[in-house]
Amino acid sequence: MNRFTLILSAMLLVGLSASFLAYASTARNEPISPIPQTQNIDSAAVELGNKLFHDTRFSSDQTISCASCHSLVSGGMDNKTISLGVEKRQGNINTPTVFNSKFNFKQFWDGRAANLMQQMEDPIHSEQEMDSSWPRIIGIIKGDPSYMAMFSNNYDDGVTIKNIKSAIVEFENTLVTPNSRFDKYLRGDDEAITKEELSGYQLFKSYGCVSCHQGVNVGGKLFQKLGIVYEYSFSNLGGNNRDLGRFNITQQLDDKYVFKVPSLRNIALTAPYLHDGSQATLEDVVSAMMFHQLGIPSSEEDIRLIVKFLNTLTGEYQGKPLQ
Amino acid sequence: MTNKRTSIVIFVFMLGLIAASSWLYVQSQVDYETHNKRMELVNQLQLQTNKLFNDILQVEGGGRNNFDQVAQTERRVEQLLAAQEVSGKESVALATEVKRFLAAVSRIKSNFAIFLNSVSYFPKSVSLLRKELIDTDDIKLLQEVNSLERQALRYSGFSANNTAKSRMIINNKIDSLERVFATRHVEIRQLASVVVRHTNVLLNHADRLHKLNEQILQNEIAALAPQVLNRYDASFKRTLEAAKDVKTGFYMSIFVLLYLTFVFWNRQRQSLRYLAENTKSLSLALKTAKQNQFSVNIKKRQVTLGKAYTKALGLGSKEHYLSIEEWEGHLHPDEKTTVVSHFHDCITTGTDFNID
Repeated sequence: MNRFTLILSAMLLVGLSASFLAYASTARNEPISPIPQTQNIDSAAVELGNKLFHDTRFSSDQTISCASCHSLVSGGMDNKTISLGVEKRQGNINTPTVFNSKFNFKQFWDGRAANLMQQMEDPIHSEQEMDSSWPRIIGIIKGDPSYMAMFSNNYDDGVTIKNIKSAIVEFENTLVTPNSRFDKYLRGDDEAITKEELSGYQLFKSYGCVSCHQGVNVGGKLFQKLGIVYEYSFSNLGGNNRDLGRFNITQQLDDKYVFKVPSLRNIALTAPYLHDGSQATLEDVVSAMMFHQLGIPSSEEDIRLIVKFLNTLTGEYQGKPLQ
Repeated sequence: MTNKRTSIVIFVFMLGLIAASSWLYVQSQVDYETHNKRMELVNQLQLQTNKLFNDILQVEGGGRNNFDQVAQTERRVEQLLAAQEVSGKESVALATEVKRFLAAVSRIKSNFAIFLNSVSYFPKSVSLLRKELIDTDDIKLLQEVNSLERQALRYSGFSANNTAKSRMIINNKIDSLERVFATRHVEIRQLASVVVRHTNVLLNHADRLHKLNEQILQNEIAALAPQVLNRYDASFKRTLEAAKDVKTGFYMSIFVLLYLTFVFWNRQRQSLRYLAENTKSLSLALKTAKQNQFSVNIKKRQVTLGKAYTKALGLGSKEHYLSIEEWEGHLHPDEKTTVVSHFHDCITTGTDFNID
């Protein structure tokens, strides 16, 4: 074998190994998939959406913006049991995180909005939230030269309801949190999570949590009844028959107490839990889910391990780990 | 004046004809793009619902381990449905059927997740009860529990025995077992209660899943979509026929327009020819009669003296220009008052005058 053949063989071997490693790093076949690390964005529209998202002037008392309840410095929500709207008015449901909401198949706990464009209508018009209107918002935008410049740069037809919503959705589409330690594990980095966390994941799968909390958003892809095996004791039927969930939309008996399965991404940062914010800690909510949804008693050790796994789902926003 | 009015009438008529032709042209255009788009939407809707059906079956069959693809296709179908033109009973029926299909898929996801867990938890709960029954040497009850397990699993496996009758048999068995369990000690009662609960969850969700799968399997989208396409096609054919008639009208109006243009052009051409002939005759007559001529441009208020005229006046052989006032100054004092009066009458009223 001459030197040329030897070098060629070595190169081929290296190439094949690299290909195998590259394949292996993306080939972990799990019911949970990692958040894509790259995305196409229209940066000018995102900048406009960001400004709109944080503008408190749109609410009736000029104190509430989208970011007031969906804080981006923590887990994409405000960690309150129930958020407060204009004039400190109390809503009736726990604020879901805005992070990774683009991966949800529907929006809101009861899934009444098909997408983020539709979702926006409710908080803007709700008396308990922004208590605003499109004419008011458009008026404020048209009175602000910086907005006018941004709209004319982005949209041929300038300031319209559709364009305002579109810019905010463009921004919300950037609110993704890739590179959680678990995502790194899914991409093939065995060292990204500890053995205990991995055991927690194995329990998460074997107990059947993964039947609902799966896919890229570790949830957000289906509706489920709260209280499948053992009825859930709701604290009360909050305003608008809150606890009836999807039944309020479909009026079908099968949809009573049915909610969208929430995403578990960044779950360690989004306490309190469930639609009524009734579960204060991860341990509490895991224990409640095991009993009511799976119908099994759970050991403290199993809950501890599952919570450890859930902590690995905290990702990064703008390149920095969420805290 | 008569000529002027006729000219205005002809002008308005021609303008009207041009407007009518333009309108007919616009009306004769067929919007192929919109038609193709709505046909494509129906085709896509059918295609994507098929894909959704396939996606959900893949998850149920174990070919996929999450609902991401299902949810993505659900969104696509919803978008297509929202973009769909819903008019006419066929498209209303199609939209209703697609909504029903989407609702069924959504329920399948929920029920499948529970079913998947139940298939695992039901035997586990039976296993715990079985162990307790073995420990207490309750062999008869153990056999009954084993029988319930077999029947429930067979039933939930969607076999041919999955009928209302077999479900009733299982329910009766559960009722009978519950009565027996009530006579046993507390540990067995508790374990039995868990078994009964898991059995019910398993059977209920197996039933629902079975019905929902039947529902999506027997969806009528494949039958309704062609009906909508046929309706669109028929409506488009009618549009084409109507456009054909309008087009005929357009061609006729264009023909009339061209014909009239030709007629007027020909008349104009003949007039010009007569004018040229008259001018030529007049020039010849003037030349023969050795008479002079001058012309007046009323707008410019300028008088042009012809070459013969300037020559006769001893002003050279070129045309000579002067203002009306200058020209009036050159008139013979004996004739001036009369000529100027006739001249101005002619300008203001248009009446001819002759002066010998």
